[in-house]
Amino acid sequence: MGITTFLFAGFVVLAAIGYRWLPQRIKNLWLLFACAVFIVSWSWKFLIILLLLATINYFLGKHVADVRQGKKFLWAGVVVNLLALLLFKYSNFYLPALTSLLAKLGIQTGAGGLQILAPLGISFITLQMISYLLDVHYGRTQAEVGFVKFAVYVLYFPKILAGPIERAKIFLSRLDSPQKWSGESILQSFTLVLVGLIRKIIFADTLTAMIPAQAFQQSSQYPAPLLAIWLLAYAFAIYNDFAGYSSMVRGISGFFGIELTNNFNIPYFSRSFSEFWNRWHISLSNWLRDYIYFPLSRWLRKKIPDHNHAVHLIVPPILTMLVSGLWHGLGWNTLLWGGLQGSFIVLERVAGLWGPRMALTELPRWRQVISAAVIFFCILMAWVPFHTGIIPAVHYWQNLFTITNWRFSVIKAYFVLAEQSESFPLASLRMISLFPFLQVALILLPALGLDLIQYKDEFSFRKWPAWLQVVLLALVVLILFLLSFAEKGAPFIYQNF
Amino acid sequence: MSNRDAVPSKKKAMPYTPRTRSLLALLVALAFLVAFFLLLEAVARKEFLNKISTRESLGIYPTPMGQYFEIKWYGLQKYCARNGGVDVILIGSSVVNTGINPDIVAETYFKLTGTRLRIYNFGVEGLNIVPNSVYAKILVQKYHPALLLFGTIPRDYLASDNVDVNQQFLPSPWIEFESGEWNLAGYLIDHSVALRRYLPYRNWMRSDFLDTIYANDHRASRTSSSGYEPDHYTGTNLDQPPDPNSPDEQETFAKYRDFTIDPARLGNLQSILNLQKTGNTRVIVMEMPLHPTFYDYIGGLSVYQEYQHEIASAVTASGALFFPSNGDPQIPANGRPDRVHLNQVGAPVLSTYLGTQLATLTKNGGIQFTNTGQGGH
Repeated sequence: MGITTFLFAGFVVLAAIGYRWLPQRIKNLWLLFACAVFIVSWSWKFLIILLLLATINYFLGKHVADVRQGKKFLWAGVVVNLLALLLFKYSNFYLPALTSLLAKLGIQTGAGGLQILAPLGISFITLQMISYLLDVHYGRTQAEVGFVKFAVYVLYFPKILAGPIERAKIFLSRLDSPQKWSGESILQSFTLVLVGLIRKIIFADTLTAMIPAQAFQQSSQYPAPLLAIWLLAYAFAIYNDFAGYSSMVRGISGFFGIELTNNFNIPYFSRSFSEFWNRWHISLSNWLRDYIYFPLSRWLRKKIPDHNHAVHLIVPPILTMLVSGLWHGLGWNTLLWGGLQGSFIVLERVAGLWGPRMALTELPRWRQVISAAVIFFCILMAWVPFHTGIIPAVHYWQNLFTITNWRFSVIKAYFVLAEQSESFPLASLRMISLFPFLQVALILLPALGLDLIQYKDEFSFRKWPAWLQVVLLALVVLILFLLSFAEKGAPFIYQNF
Repeated sequence: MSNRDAVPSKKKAMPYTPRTRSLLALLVALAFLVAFFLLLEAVARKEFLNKISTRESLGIYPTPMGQYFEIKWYGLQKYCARNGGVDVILIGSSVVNTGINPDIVAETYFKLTGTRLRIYNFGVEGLNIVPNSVYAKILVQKYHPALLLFGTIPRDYLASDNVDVNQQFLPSPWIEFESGEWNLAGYLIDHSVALRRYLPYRNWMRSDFLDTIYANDHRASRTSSSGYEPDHYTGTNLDQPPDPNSPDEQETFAKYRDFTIDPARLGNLQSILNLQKTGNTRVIVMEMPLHPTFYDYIGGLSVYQEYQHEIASAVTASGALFFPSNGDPQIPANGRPDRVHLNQVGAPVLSTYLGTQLATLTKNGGIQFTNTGQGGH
């Protein structure tokens, strides 16, 4: 049951009405039932695995607070969760080797080899479980007594596909006292769902479709201006895809009166890398900060008391971002992406050693704009290895920064060449050279417009004149309707992580 | 009482609750949408738009097979408008599309009987017996042809053939709507000119959009007004038996290994055959002539004959007619692009043969075209 389907909409309405109508003491049981239905709609096997994981963590959670034995249980819990992550998420890496090993031993594994299906949201759930055990162990929260409530925390269906990664203390307290239903709260939830749909279907899916399948793999076939415009399209596609998902699940959860963490806050307008990571995938950034960066920094300070030592400046950001890269996928490309992001933060901190410390808002406007442009450029370049293998990424950068690839004559030559090939017959029209730019601009401009509108207040639409809201709503419905006829859209990108 | 008190308030705020206001806003949005749609629909029906573009689409997946289907669909519409209807519709896959020229069939038939048949080739590349059986029903219901001729080959009966295409084609809203499964999108496509005028551009965001539009137009221009699309390529070394060890041939050998007729596909054939029970349409199943070396793929001539026997039994049991391919007609050596299809040299030979067969059948009383000149709508 995909979350952009009418079936899911009907399911949410039923589940929310039941949740509101039932007395508080059985609300969680109802919610758990709804979560189970949602998970089973993907696969009943997912439900068994996730319930098993929830049960293990529930019992471990009861013991990690213990003064004498707690540490052992904590480590056991961390290992169990990391093993689950390795077993399910990274199966692509070890299964081929295991299959060939078994074949050498004379054990046949069938035509498709060994296969392990990764349960829904396993990467998000395991991080959540590790943070829960750590928080209980260090006394930041109490171990949850009720299994049903704990299971809802783990399996809560609006956040199971791709987060946000919620902290137990906050989420469990929200389960105890869901917000009251009011006209305004429903409207806000509706607005979030609508904005999510706009970001996902109108912006992300269309931008993704504009990028040729081979653009990142065989970049040498394309002139640099096209590579630049498609990289820009990818950057806004991945952002709007995940931000759209996050907005939708916040809205859906709002129908239940349970607030979820805002995962995105207009990240591409960031004026520093630190600000970017406070605005991009916020729940993951906070998790990495609280459970990797801070503990690592503290540990390093104990080992190397000299506060000015370069290790303090370099190691925590690099290591944290490398972990972030590995979490996104076990590959050299994601590792490079993480390494780049870590290096950007290090460079920023090194640059900050000179000159007075100033809040970003105190900087002159022109410096803010230049900073935002530089940050965006670096983030943009880092998306290349995030999207493709390490060698194609290097070629992409090479082709992008080769000056001769930027001449207009190169574009023209590309289309003349393409004209001779049957796969690109329309090149006989000279106008075509402008078409990819027009395509991307047509989506990018409204996407930027939405970011500008939401920059200060994500609900600023609600303050607009009623007639304007109505016209916009109608227009959005019309566009969504028309886009529904396009060849089928892609699933959420972060669902794969 | 002061003067101020005496003046009644002209603007008194309506006591709307937030919920009522929201509901009202939604209703206004809905009304706005409906009004906007109606306006678009009115404009879309204006004749002047045809001067800009006559493109229309039914929004059928997948690309490009859906578009090939639409070329034939709109082609048939134009054909019927021009000729007042259609007597014979040929359906099948690409083997029919490039293998039979309706104009030659009609001409041959006319020479032998003095009657001019209106024949349209609705063979669609990439669409096998599964979608064929679905759109055959739509065609018969809409155009009431006197004869539906289904050109078939063994590939139609492979369970694994073009499964992904079928899975996309069949759930297309318009196809489902026309097949009797009501859905809003299908209904709107069927009734709204504005939507049909938008649909050719529905994939405007795809990187291959302009290519597809152009390829589509190019293909439409290559297709004759009676639906025939000539193939200009001539295959080489076709007389040599295919080598199972050649990398180029392995896929085809693997595809036809242990060839058996899939019962579900036989069910699709039955659906086509059943069409003659619903109206005045006769059904003929015609085997498209394959190159003799093709039999090597499926395990030899004996396997082919077994297959042929089973198909023939199913067809004749339903009261339909079966035109087997037993070496007739003789397709010249340069008449094929490969072992399955016919090219512009081979197609006229088969078309002449088919025209003769139909004429013989008419003379023998096997088939009558009583509604000639009045068929269609």
